Amino acid sequence: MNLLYLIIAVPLFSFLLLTFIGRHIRLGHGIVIGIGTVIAMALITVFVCIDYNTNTFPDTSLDYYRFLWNWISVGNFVIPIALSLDGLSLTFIILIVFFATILYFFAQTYLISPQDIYTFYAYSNLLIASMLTIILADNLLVVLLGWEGVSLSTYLLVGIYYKRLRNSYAAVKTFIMMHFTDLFLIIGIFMLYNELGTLNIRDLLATAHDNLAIDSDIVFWTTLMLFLGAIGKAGLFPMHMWFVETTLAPMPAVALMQSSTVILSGIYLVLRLSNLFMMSTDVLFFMAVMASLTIIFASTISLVQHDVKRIVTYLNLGQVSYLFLSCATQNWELSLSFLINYTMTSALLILSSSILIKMNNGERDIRRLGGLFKESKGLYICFLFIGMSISALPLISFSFYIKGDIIWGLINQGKLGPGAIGLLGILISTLSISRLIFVTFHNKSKIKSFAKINPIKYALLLMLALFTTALFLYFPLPIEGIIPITDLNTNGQLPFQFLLASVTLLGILIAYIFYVHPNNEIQDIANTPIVKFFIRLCANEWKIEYLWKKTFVQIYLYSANLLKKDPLGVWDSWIIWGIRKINSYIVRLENGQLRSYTVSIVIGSIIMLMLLIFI
Amino acid sequence: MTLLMQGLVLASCLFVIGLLGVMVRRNLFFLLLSLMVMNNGAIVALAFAGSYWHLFDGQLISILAMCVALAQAGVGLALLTRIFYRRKTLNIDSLSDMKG
Repeated sequence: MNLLYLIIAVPLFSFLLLTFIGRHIRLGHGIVIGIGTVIAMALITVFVCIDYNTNTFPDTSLDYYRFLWNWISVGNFVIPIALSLDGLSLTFIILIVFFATILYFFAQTYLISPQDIYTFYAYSNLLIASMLTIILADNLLVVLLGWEGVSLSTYLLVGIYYKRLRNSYAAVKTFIMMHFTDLFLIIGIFMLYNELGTLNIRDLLATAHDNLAIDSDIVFWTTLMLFLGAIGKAGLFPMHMWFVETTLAPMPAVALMQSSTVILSGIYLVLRLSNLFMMSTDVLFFMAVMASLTIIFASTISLVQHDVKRIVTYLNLGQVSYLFLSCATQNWELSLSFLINYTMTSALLILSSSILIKMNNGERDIRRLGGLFKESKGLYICFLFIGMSISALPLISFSFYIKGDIIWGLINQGKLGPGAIGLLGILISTLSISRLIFVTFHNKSKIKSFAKINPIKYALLLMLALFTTALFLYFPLPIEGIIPITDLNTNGQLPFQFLLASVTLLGILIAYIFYVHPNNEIQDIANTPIVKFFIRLCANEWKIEYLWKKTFVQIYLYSANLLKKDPLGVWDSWIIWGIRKINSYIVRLENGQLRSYTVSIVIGSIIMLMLLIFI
Repeated sequence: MTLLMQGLVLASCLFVIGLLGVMVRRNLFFLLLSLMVMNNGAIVALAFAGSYWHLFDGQLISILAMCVALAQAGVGLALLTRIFYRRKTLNIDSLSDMKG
């Protein structure tokens, strides 16, 4: 376990290597460097797991701590760079490295041009190194370092195809959004330091528990700031723009960002500081409100989009919000289980849809897709697993139990509104994933030729699909003593599970009626003005982008225009004008006439004499 | 005492006349003459001061100053001829190229 620092150092070194010499080496060497990095990381992770399992002490929450060096040391203010590993970090490391391995191998077959491959490997290495910094750091300032690294590498990954102007704009937008929310995190960290006098996470949680009162103002404001910082990375409602812009990256990068790294950093912060978040019920309620807003927003939009990539993105966004719903019920263990389910499902969804797009020769508009059922049974099975997981199919899917517990927890705590929205979200996302499956697989084929796909890829995907089934339910997670575990009231849960099951089945039924056998009555309903209005609103993504442009961007541009003439700089120009004026008078005296110089010398000396004589 | 006062008045009159000549005249030759007048004013002042204190030093220095004035006149005349050859005029304003 003493080699743990290598898990950050190896991808960082590989990033530097690929960035500096990537364009000068051959394609094969680039792939070898990228894959070699991820294999090294996987090996280290396996060793760490073995070490962890042989050395666990039952009653200590701190398992491994290694001091590397002091970053800042000013008087009492010491920021060490140190690694600390416990069950929660280990779970996250396993998730990240597992998906990195899969996606690196997938990218090698998916991307074509050599430049794309080496840039993808380079930037992903940076992303993974900064993620692991966040997860292994024991100090909030070091967490912030990794946090900025994640922002930077997301910007780089979104802008891989930077030669298209649209992509460059999207990358810049991602960068600005992320750094805007990073500000809140920084404010939160400073407030914590001001109040508690330490930045070490463990000390900080202990002192906060002893010194701060539950629901006091300072707790409310710090947790609110930390939460706003976290949703910037996790992509909840007002900050979801970067999440949508990731669709412009190549598919492996999308999978890396949406399922297994950037989202995890936001969730990790909330889980790591869960003791702090538990002290503020207002922020937890705010969390529930934001999450339910995001559920409605994302699932309605995914229902009417036509681009496969965007449907997938909005479906994932809807799933992320359930994570925060479960955090809002203070059921942290459940949210960790759901996180694992989410990463599996979304990676599976993104990889399957990238194969789907590749089979259709790059066609992404689902109005022109169809008839894939006869072509590829393997992909169909993958999509059925995804549909099962997203729609929480009763009994056989992992997410049925998890999502049921989340919504049941909400209802138990009296948060009926978010609970109802959670159910509604399940209904609508069932509709939209069924729509995707029915339209692309069962409708009449509009594309004549499909590209052939290597069947080995399906084996990889089916391995992922196994994790979405109920086989791994209540898999023991090593989080004892790190995050508080709350017991769920199981009284009356069975009728609720029936309700959930009926919601899912209703969703599938509606989707079947709507998309497989659309008859005239359905057409009539779809043509009523109010439904049309809603469809148009959702197709424009609720006009959020327009609102942003109108409020923030235009105000900013207007004020920039006002300040362009520099109103405070008028004084400068007056001073310059005065000096010029004086200068023009003095310059006239220098005329080259010797006699006038003599006169001025004489006048001067007469004045001097007078002064000497009379004073 | 009265002799010294009158002598100094005479010397300063000569000096001021010379100075005004330097400032006002444009002809280089008259400039030289005015310089001579200024010099003479100074020499007269030296001679009067020497006789007032009954010291020979003042009169010796006045003779020395006269030699210097002559040498100066020689140099001045040499420059004058050079300028006259080059510019074909004795107008001092034609030399006002110092503006820069």
